Order: sequence, then structure tokens, then C-alpha cells
Amino acid sequence: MLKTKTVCRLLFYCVMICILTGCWDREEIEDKSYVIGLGLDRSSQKGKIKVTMLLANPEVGSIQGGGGSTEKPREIISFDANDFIAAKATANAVISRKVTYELLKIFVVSEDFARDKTFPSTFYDITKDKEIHQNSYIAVSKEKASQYFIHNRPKMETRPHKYYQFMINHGIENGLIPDSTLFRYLQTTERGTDLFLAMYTTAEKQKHREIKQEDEYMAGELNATGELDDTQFIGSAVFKNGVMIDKLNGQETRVINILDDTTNIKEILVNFPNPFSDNNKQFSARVSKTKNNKVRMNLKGPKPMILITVPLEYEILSNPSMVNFLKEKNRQILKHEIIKDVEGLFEKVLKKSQTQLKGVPYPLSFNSRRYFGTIQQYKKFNWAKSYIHADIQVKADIQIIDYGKIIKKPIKVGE
Amino acid sequence: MQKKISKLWKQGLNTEPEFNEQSNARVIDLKKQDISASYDQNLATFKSLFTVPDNSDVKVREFTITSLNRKGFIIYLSTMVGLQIIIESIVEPLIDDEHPSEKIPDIVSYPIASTNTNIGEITEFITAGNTALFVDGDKQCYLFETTQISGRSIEKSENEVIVKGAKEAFNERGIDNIALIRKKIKNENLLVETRTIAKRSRNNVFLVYQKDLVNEELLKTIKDKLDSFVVDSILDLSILEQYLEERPRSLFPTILYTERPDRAAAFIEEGHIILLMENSPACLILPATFWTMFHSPEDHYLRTPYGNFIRILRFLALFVAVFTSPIYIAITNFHVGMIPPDLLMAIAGTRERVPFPSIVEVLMMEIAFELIREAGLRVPSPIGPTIGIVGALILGQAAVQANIISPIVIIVIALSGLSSFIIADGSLNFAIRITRFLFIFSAGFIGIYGMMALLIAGLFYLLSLKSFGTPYFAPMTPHSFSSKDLIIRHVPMKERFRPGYLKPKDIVKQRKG
Repeated sequence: MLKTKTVCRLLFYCVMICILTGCWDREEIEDKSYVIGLGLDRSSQKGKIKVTMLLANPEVGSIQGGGGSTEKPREIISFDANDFIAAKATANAVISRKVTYELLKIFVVSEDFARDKTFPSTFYDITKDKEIHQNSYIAVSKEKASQYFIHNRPKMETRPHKYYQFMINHGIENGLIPDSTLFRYLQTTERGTDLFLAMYTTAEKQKHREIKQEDEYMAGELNATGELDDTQFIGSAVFKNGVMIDKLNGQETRVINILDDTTNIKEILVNFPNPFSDNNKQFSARVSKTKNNKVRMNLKGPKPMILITVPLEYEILSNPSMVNFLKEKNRQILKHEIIKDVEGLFEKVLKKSQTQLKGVPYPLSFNSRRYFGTIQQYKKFNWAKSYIHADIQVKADIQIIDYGKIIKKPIKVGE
Repeated sequence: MQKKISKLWKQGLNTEPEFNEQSNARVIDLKKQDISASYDQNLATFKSLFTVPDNSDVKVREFTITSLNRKGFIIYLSTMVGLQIIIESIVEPLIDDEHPSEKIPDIVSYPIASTNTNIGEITEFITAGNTALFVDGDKQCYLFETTQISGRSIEKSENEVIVKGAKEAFNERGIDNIALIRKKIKNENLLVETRTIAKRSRNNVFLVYQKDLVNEELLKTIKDKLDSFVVDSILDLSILEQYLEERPRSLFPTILYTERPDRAAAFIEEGHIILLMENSPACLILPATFWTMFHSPEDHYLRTPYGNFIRILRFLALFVAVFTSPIYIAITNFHVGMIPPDLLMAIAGTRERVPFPSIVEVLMMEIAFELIREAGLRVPSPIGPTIGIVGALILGQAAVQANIISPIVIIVIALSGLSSFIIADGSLNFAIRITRFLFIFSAGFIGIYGMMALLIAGLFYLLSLKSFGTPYFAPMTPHSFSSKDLIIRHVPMKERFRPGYLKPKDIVKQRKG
């Protein structure tokens, strides 16, 4: 009797499981149309948004047994909708397959829309759809997002998912664009104490382009010519409480990325002034950060004091003045120059964040929390307000691990 | 009408066959008696028992024993004996020897001899290839072991191929098989016990074990089990295997069947019991655990790092064989976000022109693979290579070109099929291949969730399996004392203990120092 009861119960559970999770959400992989990029623009009608979908064609690029395909690698559609979740259904009026955000890699928001006060409420739909992964990226485009996708025609990676994957990953590794995942956006917006950086991009050429330092450009400013795609990813858009307020160029973005221990940048290549001669030839170096920053704060007084020690490792790659680094004196000169350069740059950027942005563009508030016993005290302190008046000092802990190949006898030019 | 239905109903319930059996009570009764001193009566009895002269290979030779000056006859099966021996050492001395003598053993020069009086027992000896000598006036029968059966010689092992180590395999002759074990273990404690397990065809089983190692309780359990069969004939060891198993309907085997004498000897040394049978080119090792089937003798013959390398490879192959196709189905149907976009695009791109759902596609290829495999096994060897060409070319290339199968499925099936060959044990191999289908269905039903549910349920089931009281995953779980030869093995010097789950009389294989 007991046995039958157990068996009946087990069968009941099995049936229950089948009812709860049957194969109804089973869908064949080729039945879906994968959205790689989603563009968001202000609509001409109030209360609506303009959604642009960049859809990848899976048939392009995969080797076929039965003859090649002449189809285009992508499809772009733009239309006005209430939000981008219901837009999936509307898109089916044009797209033959079921539209899915499963592979959604990048949200491109036009600068115009990102500065709109209604932007966060629209954008918060990303938390509602389970298909949208929190590790997708958010980027701000100078032009309208619908135009951006159309003008962006990569020459090498015709398959869109591959283009964005490479472009974003290497941009973050170089530190020229921030690691702006949806997760960080939500986190920063909800924390409310600091600012969020989104990558800045454009597919439009700027009319007058001047030549600057290696990383001082904004997207669109770099004067690159040749047979290429005009899209550039450099610099960042600053968001406060979910709304865009300002922009940072590539250099400033890099500084913030170095200061931010929560992003993982790899070694970056930089130029710095030549301390040995007056000519304009600069040294180049590979900078890597292997250890975390040391942050000390004194938050007691009316003016909070913040001391940030940034440990950096330098590898000297070029030696335009043919300096002999076997001499300890030359090494010291070089090190001092680097420290001066780094500290000046870092303090300049942080000063800008205090005066112009009115907030710190990376989670520095984490470090301040441990100076408070309770959450109430911390809230009373009001980090966002106090930061603006804080006295920030940056100390560069430079270690030169490699001076490059040392040429004992300098090559005499022109003799 | 009602009567008819009730009759049919009763017939349906009845499991015994409905016909009249012929009684052979007379013969059974006769077999219980002793032979008589009368020459003619004995001759008549045995001629009727063996149906002479209808039974063509039963030979009866009558003659007069010169030295005794009495009549006698020998009876033997001409197909089972060495005729030369009978002529030289039995018949010739009896007829030619003229020295007056009283006793038969003094006349006949054949070395192996015994006497018996029971008719039934004598019959059994004759059917086993012995020659029986009856002498007029003598109340006993002389039996000479003249058995000489032709069979295969000792050949290379074909189903359990290894590169390093002994190559010889068991053959169909019991004597050869015992000799193969004996020559590996030169110890007087190695016992070869004989048991008759079937009444009619009198099939013998040889129990081989080390007397001073084996656990008495285990030995008794096995002997009791062997004695418990009430069956007319068990012709082969593989059928005996099914009789012996606790759960004959289970997917997973609980007795190890091997054709390698070196493996058998190794297990005897650990305290296991080996069963051999006449006419079966293999042995049964009991009790067996999952690990005994999973391991290969080569793991130990190779040096430790190499041996462990192939073990880990085999372990990997086990999972690849079971899980590749189910994971493919689960991911492409339910968890699209789990795979890198490139792979997803590649799969989606190639699947675009395939008309079937992916589960049908995978099942089609799996069945095709099993067909090729089975066909390759049964095909006569001259046309064997054709199967390979047909299998690889037609089913692989052409199916893809015809857009019936997507190329990724070919990779998935080839990988899982190839991996399944690495599991050397025949029974475990089947078990793995069949479980794969179960996993494919569960993955097609509710994705990874279904696979995991089946895996957990399957593990519960496997843990409940027992082989003569030994849990299936011993000594890993439940943990018991052993030399820890499980997923990886240690150097032979460190393997100091016999497996604890066998409770051997002597657990230490090597002492320290």
C-alpha cells in the first residue's frame, strides 16, 4: 500500500514537472532572427521612441555544403514604437522570423535622446526582458542611431556581431572606451553617488579635423584616411542619474579607466614628453597596471582629503634622444618626468570631474564607505556633494620594468 | 459464449504449456541402479541407453581378454576420444597380453583410470569422452579418461585489444583456459572447483579462486546461486551471466565478462572469483563494480603517467559519448544564449535549409551510426571495407549536400560515436549507447534541466545496483579500504591493499619496507 502511494506520488511529481516546464519554450535555432544592435532615438511623436534593429543574417559567413549564399550579411529596420520590447512583435511585420534579443550585443542611443530627461524610464525596460543580457553594452552615437547603423559599414567584419565584439573588446583593452555594460549602468544609476561612462561612437566624419596627441580625440575627430569604415569608437559620454550630461575624450576616458579598479584594462600604449631634449620627439611606453590603487581618505574635516596612489608599470619602447639608461641619473630623470606627467594628467581629469561634471565617473565612493560605522552616517555625509569640494591628490607609484634595448653608441644623424 | 470466454481467460492466465509430456520414469529408474555382473545384461543396458546402433558415433567393441580368459567390451563416443590411445594402451594389452593376471589395472597401461558401479554415473562419464570397460563377472566398470576434443588453439585477444602486455586469450577448451590461469599463478592455493549446473546437458562450471584470499561468505553465496538453478541446459558463459545477475533487465552490467586470462589472474589475486565454462572463450569475474568495467588492463601495463592519461581520456570519452548530442539539442532548442554568437550563427546558418527539427536530425544520424556499426560487425570480411565507404561517404557527405543533415550534427555524432568506442567493455559500451538515447529524449523535452534530472535519477539508480553484495561504485562510494585505483591510479609500489569491499582474508598485497 505504501509502495503504491509512493509510486503514485512520484508519478504525480513527474507530471507536475512536465506541466511546469514542458517543451513549449522550445524553439528551433533557425526560426529566430537575431538582433545584434538596437538603436534608440527620439521619435517625432511624443511618448514614442524610434527603434532601429540591426539584424544579422546567420547564413553569411558559415560554410555551406550546398552552394554559397548571395544574401546580405545584415538587415536594418527603423520604426516608431512605444518601447523596444513590444517592438519585437511589430518588427515581424517586416522580418520573416521571430525577432529575439538573445544575441543583443550593443544598445546605441543617439546623443540627442540620451540627454532627454525621459531616457532612463524608457531604457529601464532592459530589466524587464529576460532575453536581454546584462553584459550587453551601451554606446552613445553622435548622430541619430538609425543613421549610425546605416552608415556603419565595416569593411573587414561584414558580420555585425563579430564587428562589435572585436571593436568593443579591443577598445576596452586599450582604455579608449569605458566598459559600459548594462549592469554597470543600472548599478551606477541606482547607487546615485557617481557617474556612469558610456562609450562614444560615430559613423560621421567631422569636417575640420585637427591633429592631437595619441589619445586626445573624440569619436569622429581622428583624421583617418584611406579605404576604410568611417565609424570610430573613442571617448565617452557621461551619465548622471541615467541621463547624459557631458563627454570625455579618449585621454580622459583612459585616465578614468586606469583609476577604476573594477574595469579590467590590459596594457596600454602611451606617449609622454621627452625630458632630455627640447625637440618634440616623445617617448613611447607600454603601461600596465597589475596592482589595485591605494586610496586613503580623511573625511572628518569640512574639506575631505583624498589621496590616491596609482601603481603603474612602464616599459619604455622608444628612445628618440638615444639616452644611455645604464646611468642611474638618466633613469631618475625619466622616472621623475613620468611621475610629473601622470600626476598632472590625473589631477587635471579629477579636477574636471569636480568642477565640470560635478561627480566622480567611477565608483570611488566604495572606498569611502569603510570610514563610516553606519549607513546613516554615510548617507549624512553625502558623498556626491562632498566630493565636489574634496582635496584630491594623486600619487603615481611608477616602476620602470624595462628601458628597452640600450644602444651604447648613439647613432649620429647627418654627419 | 460465457464458457468460451472463461476458457480463453483461463488459458491466458495459465503459464504452463498445455500438452502431455512423455514420461521417462523407466530410464531415470534404470540410471539409479548398479550394473550387474552379467556381461550380456550390461551390454543390453548400455546399448539401449545409447541407442546403439542408431547412434552412429557410439562404438561398442566386444572381445575376449586373453590373460583372464573372460569376455569384455568397451564403449565410447568415437568423436570425443583419442582413438590412438584406446588402441595402444587399452585394447592391445587386453587382447595381446598373454601373461596370466588377475586384475585389470595390471593389464591396461593407461594412466588415468577409475572405477564406478552406478549406471547413471557411468553414462555421464561416457558422454564426457571417457572409455568404459566392462568385464564379464566383474561388478564394477573401469573408466579411462580418454577425452580428446578438437578445438581452436590459443589465439590473440580480438575484442579487448591492448598494445602493451600479454596478447593471448581464452579459447573454447576448459583445460586450456585453466592452464592459462595456472601458468600465471603458481600457487597450490589456487583452486579449480567443478559444478554441474544443468541437469540434461550436464554443463560444468569451473570456479577458480585463491583459497587463502577469497571471502568465504562470498564464495558460499556464489556456490548457492550456482546450485539453485533448475534448468536443462546452460550452454554458454554469457547465458550463465544472465542467470547469475541480480537485475538481468538492468541497463548496466554487474558482472565482468572478459576474454583475457591476464585480467582474470589479476582479479583472482585481488580476491575475486572467476567462473569458466567449457566451450566459452571467456570468463566471468565476480563481483564486479563500475570501476572494473571502466578500467582496461593496459592502464596498469603502461607507466603511471601514460596509464593515467588514457584513463582520463576514457573518462572524458564517457561524458562525451553520453552528453554531446543531448547538449547540442538542449542548447540549440532551449538555451540559445549559452553559446558564443559565432557558433550560434554557424549552427543557425547551416540549419537554415534542413527540413527537420534538430531532435529528429540528431536521432536520424544516431540511428544511422548504430546501423553502420552493427552492419560493419555482421558483414562478411571481404566486403567489410565497403561498409566504411558507404558509411562515411554516403551518410556524411551526401546527407549534408542534400541538406538533410547540417554539418554540425555530423561532427556531434562522429564525436560521440567515436568516444563510445573507447569504452572497451562490451556491456558497459551498450549501456552507454542506450543511455545516450534516453538523454537525447530528455534534452529534447526540457533542455539541460531534463538532462540533469535524468542524470541525477540515473546516478541514484546506479548507486542502488549491487553485484553479489558489492555496491556498484565501491570503493569510491560507499567508501571502503582499497589501494585507490579509481579514476587515476598510483604507482604500483603504492598499491598496497586488496579492495576492502571483497573482505579478503589477507588485505595487504605488499608490506612496507
